[in-house]
Order: sequence, then structure tokens, then C-alpha cells
Amino acid sequence: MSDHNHIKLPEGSIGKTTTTLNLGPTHPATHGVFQNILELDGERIVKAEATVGYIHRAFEKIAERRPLYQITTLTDRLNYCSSPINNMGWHLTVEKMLGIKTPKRVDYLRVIVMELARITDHLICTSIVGVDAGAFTGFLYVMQAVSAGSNATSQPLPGRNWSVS
Amino acid sequence: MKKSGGPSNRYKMPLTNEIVQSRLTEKFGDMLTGWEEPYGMLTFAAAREHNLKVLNFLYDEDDLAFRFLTDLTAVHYPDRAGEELCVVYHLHNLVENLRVRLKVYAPVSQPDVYTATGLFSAANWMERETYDFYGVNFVGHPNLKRVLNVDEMDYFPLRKEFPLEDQTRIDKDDEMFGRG
Repeated sequence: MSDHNHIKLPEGSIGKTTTTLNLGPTHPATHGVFQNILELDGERIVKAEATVGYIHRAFEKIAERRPLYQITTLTDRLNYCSSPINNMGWHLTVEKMLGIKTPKRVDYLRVIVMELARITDHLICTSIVGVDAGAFTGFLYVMQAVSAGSNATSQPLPGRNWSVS
Repeated sequence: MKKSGGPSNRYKMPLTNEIVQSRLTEKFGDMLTGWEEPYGMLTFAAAREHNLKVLNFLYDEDDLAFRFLTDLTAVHYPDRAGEELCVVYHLHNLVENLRVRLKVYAPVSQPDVYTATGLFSAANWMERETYDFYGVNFVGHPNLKRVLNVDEMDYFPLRKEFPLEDQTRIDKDDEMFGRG
């Protein structure tokens, strides 16, 4: 043992009965930059220290100095799969503040657009899980449906396929 | 013992802002101030040392049962001397579908507010985020460190002393951006 005196181990690491395991930050199960430092007791996770990634984009700070229609381009980018839904959240808030009552036709059109966005969002999210697990082919098939959905959303709107505003 | 209220028959009348306000005034009296109802949501303020008393009361009482902390954040009011930081709690009664908003003010020089993690597990990360961006010190929090920004950051970026855009830039004329 005396041969290894130069090795410095973290305090308490010899006596402890759990294993430390770094899951990520590049593990395929953690989509994006997401690190978990796990303490394992056998196969059981007894403690996890999560770093969720430095992805805060300060939209609320940017919005402090912008007129309402420039903030729509920010809510557009909160979640690129379902940007119409986040836009609607913002616009409903503004309409509430200004006391605007929208016609029934607008409500129906909004629901249609939001539903299409919701469906494409679910398709992407579920198929991306496959990509993270190594199954890329399935994702490509699903993308056809996603494309159809986002085309249907964007064509009547003066926007693009993804960030519709 | 059945703790949650559930869609009980005991209460013929649905829970309203008026009932919540009268129950709170009955219990706390003048400790609660600033009553208002912006866009229908009951809003009031408490002294920061009373935040847990109020939250506990709203949580525990069977007829109130605000057991869902939907949001916890802060607002920075640089012009309000002695109460620059406002911690805002949004509570939701899922059964009655009623929401209330509680505000607690703290001076920016000593922004200590008791943690709500003992009552709501959800408060853990939301208080970390509020600390991260506004520097509110949640007393008693089990793990009060930055959650979205790097640990080495030594300022609180959502406070108002940090303007977003460089005010000295001349290529960004306000008029061009619709705010002239």
C-alpha cells in the first residue's frame, strides 16, 4: 500500500459505500447539455445533482425594452416545435390587459393552428427520444408527418414553417 | 384522515376571492395589505417575516386548500427604497380552480426571505432560480445555489441596474425599432 501514497483521493471516498457516476453531459439520454452526478447504491440512485445546462436566453429581460409585436418573435422561439401556442399565450395576455374581445372566428382559427402545432410537437418530441437512443430512421418517417403539419400551420399564416411569426 | 378537500358537498358555494379575503383578514387582520384584484386574481402583500404563516394557512385550511405552488419569482423595483425586491408567490386551488398571488417585499441591501421548501417541494428550484436572477436569499433553503447561470457569476442579471442593450450605441436608433 505504501507504494501508492502519492495518490490523493477525495475525502471520504474509501469509506463510502456508494458509487459516483457521471451521467452526461454528453450522454444520449440527456438531450441537450444536461449533466447528472449520480450516487448509486448498486443500481439504485440515492442522490442526483443535476446541471440543466446554461440555456437561459433572457427573453424576459429583452422584452422589458420592446413593444408588444416585437415580443411575439421571442415567444416564437421558446419552443420551436409549437411556437404558435406560446405566441397565443403572449397575445391572450396582451388582449386581456387591453380588454380586447376577439371574434369567434379568430378563436376557432387559433385553436386549429394550436392543435396542429401541438400534434407536430408531440411527433417531434417522441421521435427525438428515438434519435437519442440511436434510432434515426424512425425520426425521418415521422418528420414527413411533421412537415405536413407545419406546412398546414404556416401556409395560411404569414410566416415560416417553424418560427411562424 | 382525509386531508384533501376534494369536490366536497360541504361547501355549497364555490370558493371566491371574497371568501378567501375574509378568511385571511379574519386570521391575519392588518398583517396583510395591498389588497387588489388585477384581472380577477386576488393579490395581497405580507411582511416578509410572515410569508410562511400566510402560505401555511392557505395550504392547511380545508376550505382554502391552496396546495399547488404554480409560480415563485421576484420583481425588482429600484425606486422603492427599503422594499426594492418583491417575491411573488402564485398559489392554485386545483379543486376550485382559484388562484391567489402573495407578495413579500425585501430590501435589496438585505434580501432575506424564509424558504417555502418545507411546504412545497416545487419551491426548491424556483427559489434557486429567483436567487440566481434577483439575489433573494431564501433563509433555510437546503441547496441555495445558481441553477441556470454559471456558478462563477457574481451578479444577479435580472435586476434593473443591468440595461439589456448598450445605451451608448448609436446604430440602434429607437425610432427604427418602433419605440421612438
